[in-house]
Amino acid sequence: MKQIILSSSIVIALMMGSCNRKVTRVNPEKQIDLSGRWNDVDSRMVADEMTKQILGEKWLSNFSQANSGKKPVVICGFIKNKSSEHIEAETFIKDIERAFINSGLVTLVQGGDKRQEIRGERADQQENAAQSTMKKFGLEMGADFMLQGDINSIIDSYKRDKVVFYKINLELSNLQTNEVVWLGDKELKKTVRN
Amino acid sequence: MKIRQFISKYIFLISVFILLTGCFSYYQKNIQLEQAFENKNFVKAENILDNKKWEKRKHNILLYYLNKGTVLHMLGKYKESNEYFQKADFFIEDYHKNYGITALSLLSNPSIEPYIGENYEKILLHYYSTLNYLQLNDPDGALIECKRMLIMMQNITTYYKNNNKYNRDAFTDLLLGIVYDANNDFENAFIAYRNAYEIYRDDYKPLLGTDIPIQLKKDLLRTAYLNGSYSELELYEKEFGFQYDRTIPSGSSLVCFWNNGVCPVKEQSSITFVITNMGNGYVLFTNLELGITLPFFIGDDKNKIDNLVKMKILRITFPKFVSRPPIFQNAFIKTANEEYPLEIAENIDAIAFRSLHDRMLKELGETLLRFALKRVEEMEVQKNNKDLSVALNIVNTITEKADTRNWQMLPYSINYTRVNLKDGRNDLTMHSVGNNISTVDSLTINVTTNKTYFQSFLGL
Repeated sequence: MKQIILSSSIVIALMMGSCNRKVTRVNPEKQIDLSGRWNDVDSRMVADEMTKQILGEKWLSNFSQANSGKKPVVICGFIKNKSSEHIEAETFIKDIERAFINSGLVTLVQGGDKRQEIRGERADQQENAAQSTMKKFGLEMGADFMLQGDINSIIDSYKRDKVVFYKINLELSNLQTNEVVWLGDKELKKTVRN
Repeated sequence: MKIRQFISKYIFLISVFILLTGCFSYYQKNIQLEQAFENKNFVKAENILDNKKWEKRKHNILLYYLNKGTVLHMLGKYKESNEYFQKADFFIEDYHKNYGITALSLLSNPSIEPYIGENYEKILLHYYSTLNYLQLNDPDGALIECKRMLIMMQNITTYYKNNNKYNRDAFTDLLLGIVYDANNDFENAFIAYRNAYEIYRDDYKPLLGTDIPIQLKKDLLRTAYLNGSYSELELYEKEFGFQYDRTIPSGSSLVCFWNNGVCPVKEQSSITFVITNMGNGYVLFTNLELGITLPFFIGDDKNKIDNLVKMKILRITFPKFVSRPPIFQNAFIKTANEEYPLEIAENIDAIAFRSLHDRMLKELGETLLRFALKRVEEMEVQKNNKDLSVALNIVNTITEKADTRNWQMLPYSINYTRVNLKDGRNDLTMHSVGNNISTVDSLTINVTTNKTYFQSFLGL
């Protein structure tokens, strides 16, 4: 009987032990890949590479020279996800936008839903704010360039092995002339074995 | 000695427990949930799912995700539904890690292993998530789901060496084509429709008895024309025996899916093999009823061959599908001027039977010998050690239970049609027809922009 009690205790101890959750804080920069799907590491690699490319190329100096040293105004447009994963482009686009502002080389203006919200607030001010503080319509800063792009992926799998290839393209177009002034891309390739 | 005392004391209770729990199939255990679903009482079905603790345990978690996703879809909670289907998708994608362990999933004790889904279930979860994204007016999201569906199917294909098996899914390509089509990407839509057509023609018709949908032929011709593939258009016009009317302007349409009935459920069955010595180091496992003969090479180990042949027969339990015929046999959409019959695009009932048959043959070929040798060892133990013999009997009783789990909320068949819409108000009626029953549902669509609309109906 003692053996049974001992065995039962061991089983219960093992079951309880397996229920313990362990949480460890790690550096957000640390590369941790679990499933092989798109993750924060991929997003950061795209952001780093694209920021380096877009702020280091000629379109900036060309614009500056042609406009008496003026900083270009950029708006971020739509990043089309053509891949086979639900990828949030916003994570790396926000990193690029942050780099624009921090570099001091580019002026960024708001687009999309946030711009609509700002316009809604401005409309609200026309009725509810004091005239001295009320912001006027028609004074928004018009962008010189629009950043657009797409995310593509190719997956090749055989039984438990999988090769995932991502290609992220970004392009900057002159809003006045439609001229494409910059093209950037980042490729990522992963092998996954399940 | 102590083991014997323990066993004799608890053997009765254990046996009763096994008999009580082991005899029920997954369907019988879930009868309340199934009935609520079949009666379209989805609120009750969700409550049952939320309260049923054992459903959420790790080995059944995939079924919980799939059932919950389906019920939420039926309740119109498309975003929440997709969260569960994504969990199911990731669970399947990540679970391949233990593929080696589950190689014996038909013959060993499968019910205590995590359920990883039949191949067609892995595909069709993306059908529901595609419908969800379409209802959420997110065609890009729908396209991603279709691509994931295709990638999953392509991966499944790599596990099957031979043709003449369910290893390609026509509906996957058809759905991909429909979504590309809705996104006005006619080049990719044409390619997907063409792939679907070839699979219907080469696999579905001979293997499953599913005809090529006429709607698919019409859409293939239309996208060939819109894509500028005129030589292919002429080729397929000749093959189909009808022509695409090039004068019809491309307008809005409604793609209507009809999920008719419910898919088959699994029950436990058994199969007996006669073991004979073929000579030259071979033994043969034969079941004449099913027409299965599997030769295995043992080699020079005479003792092993003798033990196997001495066993004479080997009885194994395995799951079999039992069909649940739908109450409706056909359906059509009626507009003011025309009737559009809903054609079978995916006969899940036929696919389930075929899929299990293919898997059974594959797994028997891979694991039957190993299973037989395990039995030989157990028989030896039973002869020599009475204590272990009793314990082994209990283990065998458990391990001889077939896995009767499957995703039972899938329809019997998925049917579809494309209805041409005019600008402005369109009043439509959906007619479902059975032997002694018919129902009519009304639907109004206001066409404001030129696009593809989607609607699904449930034939329960």
